[in-house]
Parts: sequence; structure tokens; C-alpha cells
Amino acid sequence: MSPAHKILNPTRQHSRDTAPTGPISPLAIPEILEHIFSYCGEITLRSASCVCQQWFIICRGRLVRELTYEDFRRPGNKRLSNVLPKLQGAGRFRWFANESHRGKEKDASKWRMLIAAFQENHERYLQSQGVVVNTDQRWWKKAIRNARDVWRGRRRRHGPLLFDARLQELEISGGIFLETRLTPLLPYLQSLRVLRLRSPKWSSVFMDQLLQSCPELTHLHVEGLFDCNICLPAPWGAFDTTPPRGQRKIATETGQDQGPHSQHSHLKLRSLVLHSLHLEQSSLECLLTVAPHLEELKIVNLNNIIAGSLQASTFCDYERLLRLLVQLNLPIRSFHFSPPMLVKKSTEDKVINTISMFPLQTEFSFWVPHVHSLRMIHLLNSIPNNVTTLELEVRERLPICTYYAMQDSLDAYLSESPQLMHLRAPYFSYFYRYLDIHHRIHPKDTSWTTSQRQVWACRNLRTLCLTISAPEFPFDDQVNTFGRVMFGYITRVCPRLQDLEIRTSSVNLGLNGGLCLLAGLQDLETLRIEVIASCRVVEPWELGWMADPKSSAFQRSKRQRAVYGWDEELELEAQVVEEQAQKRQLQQQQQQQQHCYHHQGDAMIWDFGCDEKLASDLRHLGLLCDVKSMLYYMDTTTEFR
Amino acid sequence: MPIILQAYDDKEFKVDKQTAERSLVLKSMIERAGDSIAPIPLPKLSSLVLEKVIMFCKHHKADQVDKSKDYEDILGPRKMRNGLIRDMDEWDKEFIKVDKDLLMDIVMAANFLDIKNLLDIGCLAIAYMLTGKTPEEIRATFGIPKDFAPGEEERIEQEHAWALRP
Repeated sequence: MSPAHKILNPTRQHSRDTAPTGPISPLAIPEILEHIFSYCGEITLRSASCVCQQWFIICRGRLVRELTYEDFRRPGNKRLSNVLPKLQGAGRFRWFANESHRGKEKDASKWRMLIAAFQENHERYLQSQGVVVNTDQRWWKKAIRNARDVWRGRRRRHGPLLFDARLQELEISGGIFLETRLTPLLPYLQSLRVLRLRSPKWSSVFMDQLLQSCPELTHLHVEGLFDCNICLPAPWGAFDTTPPRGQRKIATETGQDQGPHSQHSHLKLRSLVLHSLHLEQSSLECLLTVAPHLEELKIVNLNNIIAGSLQASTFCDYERLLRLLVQLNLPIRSFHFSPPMLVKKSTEDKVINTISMFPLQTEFSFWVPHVHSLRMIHLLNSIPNNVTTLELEVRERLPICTYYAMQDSLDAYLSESPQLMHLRAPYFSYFYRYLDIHHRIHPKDTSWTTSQRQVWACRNLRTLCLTISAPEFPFDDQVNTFGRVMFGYITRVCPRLQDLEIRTSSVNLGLNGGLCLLAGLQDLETLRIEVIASCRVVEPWELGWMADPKSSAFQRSKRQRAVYGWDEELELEAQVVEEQAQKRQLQQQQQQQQHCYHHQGDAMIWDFGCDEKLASDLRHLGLLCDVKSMLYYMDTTTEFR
Repeated sequence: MPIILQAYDDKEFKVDKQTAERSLVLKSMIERAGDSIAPIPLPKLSSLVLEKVIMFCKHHKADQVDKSKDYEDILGPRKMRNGLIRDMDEWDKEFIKVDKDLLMDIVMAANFLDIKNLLDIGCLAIAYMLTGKTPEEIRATFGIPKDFAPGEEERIEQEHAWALRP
């Protein structure tokens, strides 16, 4: 038996198979290994599968192979005929359609190829299960034959796959008509667990077909544009008592007359995200009654169809929805609230109160464009403190909201919420001066005060996704200081970050721009910095300071030489800082003399509501010497990854 | 009535019934033994490990046994990792901060005595140790021999490269 054959046909091991000689390690027991690997991420699993044969066999079922096709002509993008042969064995497939190809013959032929590939995959599975498949009856017989010929020869070169799996996750985004493109795919998606659809085109998704074709579905995300271009017409399945559009006149009060639902088999749905869609609230409510495992429910910017007419209203009866959720006792962990324009404040309060009643609820998100600043403050203040994930949905195409009151309230929320672990507000603009606690960016501007402000309390933050506004019309040195302040603050205040995504209007990625300060984030896995509407062009050579492992000694010496050139600036900086400190001390003394009986010296220089260690870490925030010490740390420490 | 547990090195530990019943194996043994007061021999466990296990059971004796839920199906692996570390209480975090050999022994003991919560946090601690390590480093840390036939490891790596670069 050849080695490759042996590894492809492993004999399954059990704990009783392990040799009884010597002390047994738990890492030799398959059941314990299964348990350990259940806690591992994909990268760790990849490493673990290369450790030894036994580990490989156990990891094999857990690794998902991802396949992506982007229908854009860009360097690095593969042709469809190179991608589709790999569909066999891929667990996750992502298709990004090109809107400009829509309706053209080229686009249609690509879809035919995709359908053919899905069909072959499906038939291969059925054949492995002993089912005889007759393909002659398919209407796209010819297309399939042509498409198969393209890749059949190619696949032979790949040989049998080590990690073979049925397709579990499918993501389709781009300008496509979902009803025409998705429907022919549905018969081959029986094993699908995760489905994500995103389309800016006016189209419909027929939920009854979808739910029937994909019985294993646990995650369903459908997202349209702000003007609710995607429609989910009723009925959604056998459980749905809502009559089809045009036949229904009066909305029924759900929760009372749902006799047939109890007889219907339950869906496996755990996550349902419907973003900017037309749908009937009663259909959704019927679905909830047959989804007892639902944990995530996000109905963002719902447009409720008024039965029997094409008119739509943005009104969603949240009270009714929440009443039903409480009644059904669903294990909701994540909930979204899009407060409509004309909702009463008392309704809002009721909604928030009900949300805080969910025992497991730890994620909360809401939609900002409808909310003016005062309501936003009210909402942020009333979020219950068991919420560890906060998501602020801001309409992408709106100008970034720059209301100071909103920013103020988010800042206040962050300084008072130590339990927060994930903050996702990619389009919510946060004012940079909140981060500049020592006035390093505008040292001479005294109009802005941070004396009453506190440093963020969320020390355990793992995800941060935020737009941070940069100074308008800045000088070069202000851009550099801004970068050092921003990166320095985030690194020191949230040292456990794993995902960091920042959008900003101006940043210098060079050495003196402070990006290297992020090296202090030891757990960081994903970093994304997006520069929007910049008045300053970001050049690729700015990242030249990063030490390439292949020529790191050379790179490091180059970097050190650059730092030697900073001596003059560092001296100047030290002088300025000293002057500032003296001035502040003088001010404090004056203040203390004036109110010595009222203030007992509590307004210390570093008093930002944080502990001493953090205060001392933030001492040099925004200064060049901060970057210098980080570079020294990067060059000397052996623990640095 | 206290239960007496006897470790491999003949050291005996007295524990109350509620503590001992955190282990499903001990629970069934106690039920079978009835009113007998003879020590229960645990020849696979050293006194150091048994002491740690008893410490854990004592701390968690008031917990409901069926409280632990199989979260793996519900959450993805990544969420699982973040979620559980967050959910793990401070005492457990401190308890499991032990050296590698003792951790392995604790996991073995948890598996043998069938204590689900202890097995969970032990496995999580091991999973945490695996994170960010290369196969070589994992082999070196845990002393696992490389038993791939020539060409096998390259084949697996090739497949991973396939997965990473479609």
C-alpha cells in the first residue's frame, strides 16, 4: 500500500486501540483529542493536522476548505475554469459576481458552469451513497456537458483529495437577480449549513423553496440595500399561515392561532440575519415558532409589506415581535433593534426592557441613521450591562455621522462599560480628540478639554471596528502625531484585541506614523486599515520599516539608522513635553490654591479614571519616544511574534 | 458519611458525598457500595493529581450537573474559544494554570473519573497551548513522534496550500 493510499484510507482509532505500555498521554486518546480540537481555530487545526497520523485523521473532518471566485479582472484573480475543478472537496464557496457582466452571455455561461459543477458534485455524492442518477433529463444537459469537458481533464491532475467534504457554506454577493440565479442551484445544496446572499438588485428570494431545499441550514443571512430591494414573499413554508400576497386583507395577531406549526418539523436555524428587505412580519413570526434553536435574530431596516398592496411601511411592531420571542422562550443571544422614525419613546423603553430580560442575550446592535443624537444617547445609556457585543449599523452611503453628541455618548459608553468585548461600528465616526488625552495633536488649542474624560474601560476588548476621524487639513507632523496617538491609545487601552479594523481619513503608515505601536497587541489576528477620502496619498513604501524575515538583519539596521536621525526631534519633543508639564503643574497649583478645601488634589495629571500602570503606559502617548521604545522592544525581545 | 479515596501512593483523602458525586464514575461506585466505608482505590491517580481533582470538585459541588451544555454545535470554533474563555470563571482560570505534565494528568483523571466540567477546562487549556504553534513546535512541546511515511507530510501541506490559495 502506497503512503498516499494509506493516508487516504486510514483505519479509525479508538482509545482501546492504544498500546497499554507506559504512561498514556491524553493526547493519544482520540476522544480527548476530538474534544481539544473542538476548541481550536482553523489555523491551529492546520498545524495540528501535520503533527502525526492520528492527529491528521482526527483534524481531517474539522478542516473546511475555502474556495473563492471573484468575477473581476484583477491580478491574482483566477479564471472560473481553474476554480470550479476544486469545488469537489471544498466546504466553503464564495462567489463575488460582477455587476457589469449582468445579462451578458458571458455571465450566463459562467452561471451554467457553476450549476454544472454543483450538479456534478451532488451526483458524485449520491453515487457514493449508492443512488443511480440520470442526468439526461436535465434541461441544461448540453451546457453541463460542455462545462464538464473544460475541467474534467484538469481535475485528474489534482488526484484524490485528502480533505473531502460536502459543501457546507455558500456566499453569493454582487449584482445578481437572486430568483433566477439561486433557484437552479437549490436542488444541489442539501448539505448547506450557512448561506449568505447579498445583492444590490431588485429581486426575490422564495423562502419556502430555500428552506425546503436546505434542511440543514443553521445560518441564513440575506442582505439588500438601504431601499429594501430584496423581497421575501409569503408564504415561507408549510408552517406559514400567512396567505400569499394579494389574498390577505387583515393582518392576524400571531401567537394565538398557530395550530399547524406545532405539527411541522422544527428548523435547525441558529442565526437569521435579514438586512434591508421587504417581508411580512407575520411570516417571520411563523418562522420563529418553528426555529427553537434560534440564537441570533437581526432584522435590520425591515420594510413590512402591507398585505394586498405594493405599499410598504418601515413600521415593524417590535412589541409584538418581542412578546412572541418571550413567549417562545428562544435562546436568543444576539438581537438587533432598528428603531423606526416614528416610534414612541415609551415603546423604545419597552423594547430595551424586554431585551434585558433575555437571559442569554450578550449581543446587541441598532441602526443609527434613524436615530437622532438624543435618542442615540438614550439607547446607549439604557443598554443592559450583560451586553458584551455592541454593533452600530450606520447606512453606508450616508455621510459619516459627525454629530458630536452621538460621539460623546459613545465615548461615555466606552468609558463606563468594562464588560464590552466586541465593538463593531465601521461607519460610525469617532472624534480623534477623545483619544488625544495629552493634547499632543493641537498643543496650543485650549478650547478642547479632556480633564473630565476617562480612558475607555473596556480593557478586554477583542474586536474593534470603528471610523476614527483625523484632523482636517493637517500638517505632516499632525498626521504623524495623530497616528501615534491613535495606535498608541488602542494598543495600551485594549491590549487583548484580536480583530482591529480602522477607517480614517488620513494616516501615515511610516515609522514615525506609529503603526509599529500595534506590535504591542500580542493576540492580534486581523488588521485592516482603510484610508477614506484622504488629502494625503498613502504610499506602499511607507511600510518599508517592517522587517522581512528573509532579510531582517538588514531591514533592522536600516530601521535603526532611521531612528538615529530622530535625535533632534526627540530633544525638541522632550522640551515641549517638559514645558507642557510645568504649565499644567502651575495650573494645578493655582487651582488647588483657589479651591483647596473643595478639591483634595484629585485632579492629578494622569487621572483619567484608569489604574496607575495604564496611566504610566499612556504617559508618552503620541510622542516619538514612544515609537522608539516600541522599536527597541521589537528588536530585543525574544517573545515577540 | 465521608467517602475515602485512596490514591496510587496509598494516601487517603476524605471527601463528602456531594463532592465525590461530581464524578459520574465515583457516583456509580458509591451507589453500588451502599453503606460500606471501605476506601475507594484509584490506582491510576497520584496523590498530587487527586488532590487537585478534589479541590475542583469541592469548589463546584453546588453546581448543577446538567448545567453544562454542548456549545460546540451552536458556536463556531472561534466564537467557542472567545466565548468559553470569557465564560470560564476566575477561579477556574487560576486552577488550570499548572505546568504541562500536571495538566495532562488532570485531563486524564477527568476523563477517567468522568468529570465533564474539568475535562472541558483542561481541554481548553491544551487547545490554548496549541494556538500559534507550528507542527514542529507542537511535537517538541508534547513529545509526539512524527510517524508520517516519506512524502505524506508534504502531501498534507500541499493540500493546505491548495486551500489557502484557490
